[in-house]
Amino acid sequence: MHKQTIKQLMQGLRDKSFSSTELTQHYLNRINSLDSEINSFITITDELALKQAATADVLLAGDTKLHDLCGIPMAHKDIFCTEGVRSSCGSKMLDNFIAPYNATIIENFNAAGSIMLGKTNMDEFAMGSSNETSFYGAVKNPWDLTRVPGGSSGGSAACVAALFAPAATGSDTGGSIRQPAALCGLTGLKPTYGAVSRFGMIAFASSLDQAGPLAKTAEDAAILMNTLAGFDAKDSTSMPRDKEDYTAKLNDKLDGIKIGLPKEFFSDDLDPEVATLVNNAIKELEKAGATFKEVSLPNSEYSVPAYYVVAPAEASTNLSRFDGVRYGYRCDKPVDLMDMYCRTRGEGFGDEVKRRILIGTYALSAGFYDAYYNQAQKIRRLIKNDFAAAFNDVDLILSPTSPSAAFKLGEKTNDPVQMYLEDIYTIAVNLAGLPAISVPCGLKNNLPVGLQLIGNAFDDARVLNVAHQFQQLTDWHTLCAPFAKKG
Amino acid sequence: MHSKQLFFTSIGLVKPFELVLEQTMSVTKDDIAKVAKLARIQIDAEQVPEITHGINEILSLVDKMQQADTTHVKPLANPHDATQRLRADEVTAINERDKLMANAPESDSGLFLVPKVIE
Amino acid sequence: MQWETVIGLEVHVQLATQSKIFSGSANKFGAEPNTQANVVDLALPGTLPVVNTEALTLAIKFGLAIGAEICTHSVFDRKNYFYPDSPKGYQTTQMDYPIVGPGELEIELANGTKKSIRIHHAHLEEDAGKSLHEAFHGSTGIDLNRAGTPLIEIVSEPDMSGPAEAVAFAKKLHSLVTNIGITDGEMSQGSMRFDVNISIRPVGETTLGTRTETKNLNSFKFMEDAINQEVERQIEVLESGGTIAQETRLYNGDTGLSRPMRSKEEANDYRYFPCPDLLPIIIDKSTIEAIRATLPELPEAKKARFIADYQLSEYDADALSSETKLASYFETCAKTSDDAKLSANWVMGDVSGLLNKNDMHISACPISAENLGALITRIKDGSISGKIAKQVFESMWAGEGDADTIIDAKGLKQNSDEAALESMIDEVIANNPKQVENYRAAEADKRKKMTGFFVGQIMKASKGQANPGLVNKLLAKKLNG
Repeated sequence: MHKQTIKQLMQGLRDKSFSSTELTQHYLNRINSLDSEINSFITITDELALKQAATADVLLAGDTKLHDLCGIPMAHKDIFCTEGVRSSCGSKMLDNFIAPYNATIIENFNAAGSIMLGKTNMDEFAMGSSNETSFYGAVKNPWDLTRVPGGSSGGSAACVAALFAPAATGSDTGGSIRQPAALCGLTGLKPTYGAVSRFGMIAFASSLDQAGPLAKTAEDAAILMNTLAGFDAKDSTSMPRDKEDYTAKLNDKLDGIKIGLPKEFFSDDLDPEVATLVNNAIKELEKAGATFKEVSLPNSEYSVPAYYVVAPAEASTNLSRFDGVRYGYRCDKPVDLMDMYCRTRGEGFGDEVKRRILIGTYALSAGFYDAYYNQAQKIRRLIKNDFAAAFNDVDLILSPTSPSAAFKLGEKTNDPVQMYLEDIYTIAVNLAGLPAISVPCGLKNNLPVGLQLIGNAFDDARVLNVAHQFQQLTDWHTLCAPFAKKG
Repeated sequence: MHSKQLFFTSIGLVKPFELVLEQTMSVTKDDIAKVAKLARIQIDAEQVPEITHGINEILSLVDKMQQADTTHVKPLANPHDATQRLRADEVTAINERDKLMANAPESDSGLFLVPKVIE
Repeated sequence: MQWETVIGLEVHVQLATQSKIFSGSANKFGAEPNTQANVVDLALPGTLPVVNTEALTLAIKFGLAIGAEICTHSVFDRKNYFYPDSPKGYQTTQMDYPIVGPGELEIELANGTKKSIRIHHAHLEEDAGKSLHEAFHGSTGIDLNRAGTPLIEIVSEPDMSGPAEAVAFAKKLHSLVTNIGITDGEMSQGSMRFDVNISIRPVGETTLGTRTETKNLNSFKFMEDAINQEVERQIEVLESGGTIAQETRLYNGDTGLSRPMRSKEEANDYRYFPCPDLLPIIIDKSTIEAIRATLPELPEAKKARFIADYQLSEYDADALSSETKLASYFETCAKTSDDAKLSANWVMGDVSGLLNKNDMHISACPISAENLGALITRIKDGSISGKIAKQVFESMWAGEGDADTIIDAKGLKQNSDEAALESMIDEVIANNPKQVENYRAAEADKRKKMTGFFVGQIMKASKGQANPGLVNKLLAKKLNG
């Protein structure tokens, strides 16, 4: 059962091959017996999941029109507020925080009748590319337990790769869905900024954050997007658009589609094995009728520098609300207010989060605003313009997702700059607010490598279409992590 | 609001952009201590050198940004250059005090408590 | 040395919306602590702001009322600082692109001259919660009901040269914002709060001295007192060779003392930047014009109309137009009685007198404008005399009913029955032969004065109800006979 896609599970539930309760119990059994080795969950919500499954089974037995996700178990990144369930964001700061409300996307999944198996591990406040900054410990990659699953949505990626859930939600600020999807052999979509509500998703960098799905296939990702996406009046940055069916274009043929290859992303610096796998993928797509063309994103070299100003700057003030006054961690026996603030935040945040708050505070402080923050926001416009120019010529842009495959646990923890360069191909997409997907395109030393497809704003359905068509031609996405064969 | 004048004055005095191009941006241990206080984060004294080093590494990565010619480029705060939607003036919230204050580290009589503040 | 004072004001005005500026919580004064604070106001993780359209409309209304430019592109910024009543750790405010640009407000000085005070700008922002320092031993209690209340902060140029000008400006502003209905203006509830920036310099000096800011004054009297004290303090410091520290000060209305604020001592770096959770606000000209059309008559225009339409004196027109509720009370009364002059006299005199004595606002006046108008009508139609009217007015104030009810119940109706009055006059003439003889012997120009005696006797006999006009007429006829 656990090897099936959402599409297959939907059929199984409707055919009464199994009930939602049986399916949910099956996943819970796997998680409870095997996750101690992976550490992909922070909280497992057995009781809630079975209650939701029982409700779903009643609906599945009835003759009302069913939502696609009715009875389908899911795992949610612990960045989303879930009413009555701890919502920790991977931090000691929120270890005791029981959210009193649901994020909009959680409300959407509840309304659809999907089942929440639990909350997944993540880099603390989504700051990291290896899931090693979590207060709840590192997550192991099911492809190789000595390696990282990527981050920040590392728990979500690992739990799907370990077949603990058919899919999971994630969030992507600089690559946090796509890079772990690549490193765990999954399909992960970062939707267009403004397509998915941010209300109830604990903010890292407001102008970059976007929630999205991690799934086994592009088709599953499209099904999930139908529930994830949609206008939300509670989020000022949510775009008022008509409800879209993200599965509608999946089967469109690729004849005549033009795909751009940014020369800056295919330089000599690119890992040769990754380059070979990406070139193989290009050949497959060409066979299906796609044409390729070199494009240029001349300002992409500035994207990592600009990102490491914008994201920490926004984060530094987004995280000011964690002050020990209304919820969350408070230090023991503060002598006065200043002591309470400084020790609460000194003890409640981990090193990476503190580092980014300090950088962001510095970048915004008097005398440096223009050189850092304002310059970064100007570069953002240049990067957006680069993409706009490229999309005059092509329908999509293709690149690697990540410089290489999964690296060893601890390999980059003492070198923040090396860690930041993990996101070198993904970050520009966030700065420009575009949709992008990572799909598996091969193995390097038995470790998955990801291919990134970038679309124009609100062209998410086309990105999913090309990814889906690629998955009709290849079977990299069907490969299973060795660990997943357990149980 | 006079802080506005102050803020601009200090930016004007430093003229960071031209200066910065000549000398690469870096922070001292004192800067870190000051920023940490501004951010209300306690840092152990023995950690300061390491943190300062780490931040300087990142700043040198960020420094590359100064090579970009952004003359006449308008900053982009939102990816879609979108504008604010407005909400109707309606009361939609109900009193949920007990539920919302359940996570409070310390509270009494419906108030959040903090160590005594001297104004 | 001769010193001159330079004063600038920052005025916070709470906007009279139903809900808060960024959330759907009620914007109402006086609720139980934290019962009007929802997930957004408490800054729970993941919550986001959405701008209340009415807050924007009211801010624009203010801008139009002071003839300022309304900025079609305005931006919300974050002002970062830690304080327990600021739940997000930043205040959402406007910095580089405020909604209201420069404008001005004219004040009238005691000597009758006028002075224009420039307004630098006005911006939208959110109020903070309240810190209760006295309720708990060793702790401060935080109530976030007020957090997110929409405010405009009006920032003046340092154009005022003393407490009288500052207070005149504050009062004028209060009159304006209540008139256009953007706030309830209840200063005791904090609906309007003043921060006063004060510096002094030797007369003739052109550069400004170091200023201090005295925060959160919520009465005109406190403001005047705080300015006087602070000016005196600064003079004393400078004359004894000291320097003024740029500081924030607190004035305590109960003790009348001021002191530097401890928590604001360290210089802050607010790290303003555009709030990424909110997008730029774009307003088109037609929206601005639609809001302009809803502006009520402004005090200046109302005053001019009162003078033109009702022939009121400048002084009366000024006083009656200063506040919407007072002006509408007067106008209703004038319409009911069809006598503007008499209405103005009553509203400015007896009504205002009793309101002041009882420390009441016109909105709480126990006599409605219609009822006062009815009373004035009875004076005009001769039913009662002006003197009796005062007595009826007092009974109305005491809640004994409307004018006609009281006149009837107490039998106060004026006696205008000619026959009855004539017989009363005959009796008085018959009973006072000596006075009649003296009267008739007197020169014509002295007679007028002597009439008073007879009128007095007749009024006494009629228990004050005789129509004085009629008595005079009939008496003259009989005496001169």
